[in-house]
Amino acid sequence: MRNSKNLTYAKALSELERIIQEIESETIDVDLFAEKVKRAAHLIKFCKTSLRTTKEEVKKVLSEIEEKPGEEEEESPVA
Amino acid sequence: MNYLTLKELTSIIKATLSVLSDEYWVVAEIAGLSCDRKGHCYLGLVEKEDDIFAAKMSATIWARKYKHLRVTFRKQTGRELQADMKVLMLVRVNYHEVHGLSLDIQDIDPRYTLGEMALKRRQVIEQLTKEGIINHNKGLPLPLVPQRIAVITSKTAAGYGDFMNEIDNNPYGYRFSITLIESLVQGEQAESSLLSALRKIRDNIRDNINEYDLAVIIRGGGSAVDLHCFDSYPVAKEVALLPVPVLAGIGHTRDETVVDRVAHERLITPTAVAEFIIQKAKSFEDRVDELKDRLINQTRTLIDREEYNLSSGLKSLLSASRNYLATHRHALLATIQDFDHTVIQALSNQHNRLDRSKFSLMYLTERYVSRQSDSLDRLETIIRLLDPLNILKRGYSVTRLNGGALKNVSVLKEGDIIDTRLHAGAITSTVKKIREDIKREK
Repeated sequence: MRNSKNLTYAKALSELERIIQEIESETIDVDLFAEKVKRAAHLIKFCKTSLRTTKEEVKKVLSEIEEKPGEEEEESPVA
Repeated sequence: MNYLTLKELTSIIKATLSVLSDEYWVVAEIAGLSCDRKGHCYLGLVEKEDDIFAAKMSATIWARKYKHLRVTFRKQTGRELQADMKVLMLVRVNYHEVHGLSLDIQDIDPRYTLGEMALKRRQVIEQLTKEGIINHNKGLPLPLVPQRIAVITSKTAAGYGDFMNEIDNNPYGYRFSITLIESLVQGEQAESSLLSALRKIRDNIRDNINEYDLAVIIRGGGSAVDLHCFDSYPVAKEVALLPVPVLAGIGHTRDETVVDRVAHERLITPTAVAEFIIQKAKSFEDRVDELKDRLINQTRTLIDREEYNLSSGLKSLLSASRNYLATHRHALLATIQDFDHTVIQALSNQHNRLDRSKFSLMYLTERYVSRQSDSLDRLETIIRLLDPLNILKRGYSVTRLNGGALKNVSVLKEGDIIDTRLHAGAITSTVKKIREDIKREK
C-alpha cells in the first residue's frame, strides 16, 4: 500500500524517476498514462511543498495530501 | 665554629650561578598560568616522565614582553598560552636572594607548539583510525534534503547568527527545522560542553525524542583562536560515531582540526554550512523540476502524436473510402442497373401475368355469360312451350269446378256446372253423364 506518511524525498524522487522513464520509454498503456501523470504531479507537489514547510508543517501537509483515500488506492495495483 | 649568614650563602649561590650562559632554549610543559593586574604573567613549568614530575620551575613573563609574545603566539598557533601546552622558550635563569630561583622568559617559538599540536592531532587521528571509526561519519548517507538540523554552537556566537540568517533568508523559500543544542565552543570548558551536546543529540536520536537529518557544529567567524577542543580525542570520537552526518563549520583555520577530519563535510564558515544545506535542497528541487519538465514535454508529445494519429487515421479512412468507391463504382453502377433491370423484368412479368389473367377473366366471363344466355334461351323456349295459353292454342282446354281445375271425374256428379276455358273463349256446361272408363294416360 502506498502511504505517503512514509514518503520521503528519496522515495518520491525515485518513484518520480521511474514513472517518467516509463512514460518516456512509451511502453505505457494509454489508459494508465493519465494515472501515471496524476501520480507524478502528486509527487512533484509533495516535494515542492515539503521543501517549503517545517517538520511540524510537513506532518500536517502529509496528512492533508494523503488522506484522500480513493485516489491512492486506485493507483496502487499498477505501481 | 664558622658559619655564614643566609645572605652570604645566597651571595655564593648567585656567584656560582654566574657561570651559566645568559640564555637557554628550553622545552617545558605549562602546568599553570596566571596574570596579575599589571599584566605580568607567572607560569609553572614542568617536565613529566611517565606522568611523574621529573622537573619543576617557576617562570615569569614580564608584562611588556607578554603583551607582544601573546599576540604573536596566538597569531601563529591559533591558541592562547595555557596549561598542558608544551612550549619552546628562550629563558634566563634568574636567582633572587628573596624570591629564589626562577626563569625569565624572553621569547617563545610558536613553531614548536604548532608541531606539538600537529603531532597530538596526528596521534588522535591515528587512534581513531586504529579504532576503525575515523571515516564512520563520512560513510553515512547524506540525506537528499537535510531539513531537520541539530546545531551545536553557542547561542551568543556570531557564527550562529550568520548561520540562522542565511537559513531563514534563503532566496528559494525553503523551510528548515533547526534545533539549537547549546555548547561552549571555546575556552577551558569547551571540550566537556561539546561532549555533552554531542551526547545529547545521540541520546535524543536513540530515544526517538528528536529526529535529525543532520548535525552541524559551528563557531563564531573570523577569529581562529582556541580550537584545540576540536582536536580532542573524546569530542572527535563522539562526532565520528554520531548516527547522523555532521557538517563542521568551525571557522578559518590553517590546519584541519580532528573534528573537521571526522565530520561528513568540512566547511569554512557557518555561512558556508548554511549555503551547503540550502544548495542540497536546491539541487533536489532542480532535479524535480527537470523531471517535471520531462513529464510535461513527454505528455505533450504523446498527446500531439495521438491527435496526429487520430487526424491522419481519419484522413486515411476518408481516402480509403474514396478509393473503394472509385474502384467499385462500375460494379456498383452495374449492380444498380442489374437491379433496375431485374425489377423491371419482374414488374413486366407480373404485368403480363396480370394481362393474361385479365384476358382469361374476360374470356371466361363472356363464355359463362354466353352459356348462361343459351340456357336462358332454352328455358325460355321450354317455358314458352309450357305456357297454358300456348297449350290451349294447340287445342287443349281446361275445365274447372268451382274455380279448381278438373283432373279426375270422381269429384263430379251429374248436374254439376263446370266451366271450360279454351284458347279463345269459354264454355259453361251442365254435366249430363259421367264416364269413368277413360283412363288417365301415362
